[in-house]
Amino acid sequence: MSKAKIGLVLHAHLPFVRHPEYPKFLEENWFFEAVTETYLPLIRMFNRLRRDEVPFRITLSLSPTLMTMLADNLLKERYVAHLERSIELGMKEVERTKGDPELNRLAVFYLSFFERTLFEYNDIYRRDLIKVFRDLEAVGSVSIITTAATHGFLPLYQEYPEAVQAQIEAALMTHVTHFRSKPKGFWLPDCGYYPGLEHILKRNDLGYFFTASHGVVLANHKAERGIFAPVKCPNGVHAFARSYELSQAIWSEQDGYPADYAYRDFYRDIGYDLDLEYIRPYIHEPQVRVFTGYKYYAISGKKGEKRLYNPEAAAQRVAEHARNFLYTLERSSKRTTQLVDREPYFVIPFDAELFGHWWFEGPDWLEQVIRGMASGDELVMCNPGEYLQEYPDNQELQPAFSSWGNDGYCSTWLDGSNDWIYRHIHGCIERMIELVDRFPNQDSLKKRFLDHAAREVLLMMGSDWPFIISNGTSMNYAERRIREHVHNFNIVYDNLCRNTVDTEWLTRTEKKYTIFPDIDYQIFSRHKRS
Amino acid sequence: MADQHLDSMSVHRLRLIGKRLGIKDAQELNRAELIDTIEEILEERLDDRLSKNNEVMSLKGKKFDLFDDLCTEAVGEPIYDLPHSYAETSVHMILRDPYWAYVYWNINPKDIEVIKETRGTYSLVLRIHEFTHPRLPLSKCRKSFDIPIREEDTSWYVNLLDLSRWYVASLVAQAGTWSETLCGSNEIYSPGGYWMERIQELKSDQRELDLFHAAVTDLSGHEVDSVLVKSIMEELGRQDDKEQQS
Repeated sequence: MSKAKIGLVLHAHLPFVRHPEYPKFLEENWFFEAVTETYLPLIRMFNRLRRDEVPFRITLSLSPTLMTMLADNLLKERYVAHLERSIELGMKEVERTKGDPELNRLAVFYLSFFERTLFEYNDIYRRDLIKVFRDLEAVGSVSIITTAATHGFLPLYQEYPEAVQAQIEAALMTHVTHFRSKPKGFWLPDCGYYPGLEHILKRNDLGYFFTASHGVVLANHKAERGIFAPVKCPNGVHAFARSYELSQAIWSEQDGYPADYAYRDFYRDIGYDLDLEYIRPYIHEPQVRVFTGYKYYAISGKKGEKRLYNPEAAAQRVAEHARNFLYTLERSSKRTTQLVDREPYFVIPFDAELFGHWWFEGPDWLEQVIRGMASGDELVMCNPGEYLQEYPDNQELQPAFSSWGNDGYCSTWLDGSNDWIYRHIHGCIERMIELVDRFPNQDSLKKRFLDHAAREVLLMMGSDWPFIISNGTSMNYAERRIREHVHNFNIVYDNLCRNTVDTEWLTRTEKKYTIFPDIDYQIFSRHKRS
Repeated sequence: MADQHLDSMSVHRLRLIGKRLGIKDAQELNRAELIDTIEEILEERLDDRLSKNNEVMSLKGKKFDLFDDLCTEAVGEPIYDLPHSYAETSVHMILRDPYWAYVYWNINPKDIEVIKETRGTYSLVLRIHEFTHPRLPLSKCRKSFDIPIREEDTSWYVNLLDLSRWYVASLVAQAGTWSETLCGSNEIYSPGGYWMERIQELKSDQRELDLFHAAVTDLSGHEVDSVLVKSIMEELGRQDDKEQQS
């Protein structure tokens, strides 16, 4: 019987946030929460599947900024301190709730979750999660790819192929540093594609990328197999389109599985619920309430009082939702088999942080789906690389401009709230290209300056800043980051134009932004564009 | 969540937040009134934010959802000024979606001085040129239209009238019968796609229609967030309605 192929893709990314100049920094919590609730639970799941010899294939995109943070000693120290604080809070919570058995059970549940997390991170993985991912890749279950260096949303930089090249080259450099080999594929940030981008991918030996579904079905010619097989760009690079239908079963905030009333509520957290004096040591100084990870309530319903979270009831829903998804997959597979002339390939990509962080039960659901596919006979997991080995001949087609953002194009990253940033980022890119022309073969101190200028340009290009500004969370921070990177770049530019160098400033700034330690400013060379 | 947050703040801080949110009489409101008004605005802002997000973006936002941003102005952190301009005259186009482009520009004050000295009173227009083929000179454009701009303007969202066309923007100074193109932009292409131009063909071919639907709709029949997909679906719906009526 012919089997439908399933390509699960998890894209793990966080912006580079590391502030050694402060003893604690609020936005570093993004990283701590994701490690605790997403990356470690996913690793746990992968290990369980391996232990039980369940065959599985997952494509995991790890962004260069995330890789750098996972490998960073300061953040490792701070993460451990963060977990220790969570455990301390847990102990207080167990004490505080001892008169209420139901609440107490949840306090114990979370305390043991944090204790286990700390034990695994310190003692099992020796604080080296990159090595864990490398080992998973070595056994063939997980195929690791990369994305743009700072997750720049590339369609907004198509006027500057040098900058797009720099995003890709710096990403590959970081990937090779951590994984010792080049990836075969590339995750375009937010599936942002514009015709011609494939030339830069090919120049960097990247064989495939992923697009939104309308990137393929709205191409200039008919996609003969719709989105159920990759298409080959005229230059030979393959594009895999996302299955909107299947992704949506999980993505939908209103109708998706994660919205089930039995699941843990993301927002109700004792960081907001409890008395300020009690919670003050575990929130942000002086008194900014934040999530602590102790979330005692289930989603429960749209209105009214929230019910206490019941992990057993949630586990039951996980099993039901996994079965439902498998049924949906099989049904879609049967329907699609009649439409295309080979086994359909369903590409289902997600932001990894959906699993565990927002949807607490997500990793368990994923595990059950994978186990279900492995034990059935209608679906087989398959990575894009494996697919292309089996089917190297695919329809030649030029995909269309697209993304998975609002309106399907750029409006998340380019709207009335954030459009002001582009004149500055583009201005800095132009100046960076000019610096490469003016100082073609520098070494020692001037090269350090130029390298740092390139680093600042990459950092300002991150898609997270306009996204955050548009979305309205942490706007202050995102705006400050853009302003700081533009400011820092212009210090270098002005210094070089005046032929002076402020080494004290450079050393201080390099220590703050430790990302891309081996960067070479020549990645912005205009000679690389053709 | 927000009320506890706001409750813990001083009136001075609440007034600062109120000012940032555009509450005109923030200085005159008392504590309770300030909290009520701020909460109301925050609620509206949240609704706006959520309503414009598609599912992917909405969930992506959770990743950064740590706290209420308005209440966390970092003390002592420098806010760097951005360069006022880049001392050049240039215009850039960024394609936002198939129907809209963002155009931003910068005019070197020296260029303005020269125009003022030689021409006296002048006006500026942003001219949008549409082409049927790429890389043609401005004079070969299929059509163009002008948007009057003021000296202090620096950007504009431009509605692209036709799909599958190339566009270039230029900045033009005018005085009487005299006009001069100050600079031209990069070229952008507004995509249409095969099915946009062949909706009838799509409708008449059941296999193609099924493939299209399977690609762009979910199990509840909601279509993917794309203005072009929406217009194809609407046109298909209209044709269905017509057929039923006839």
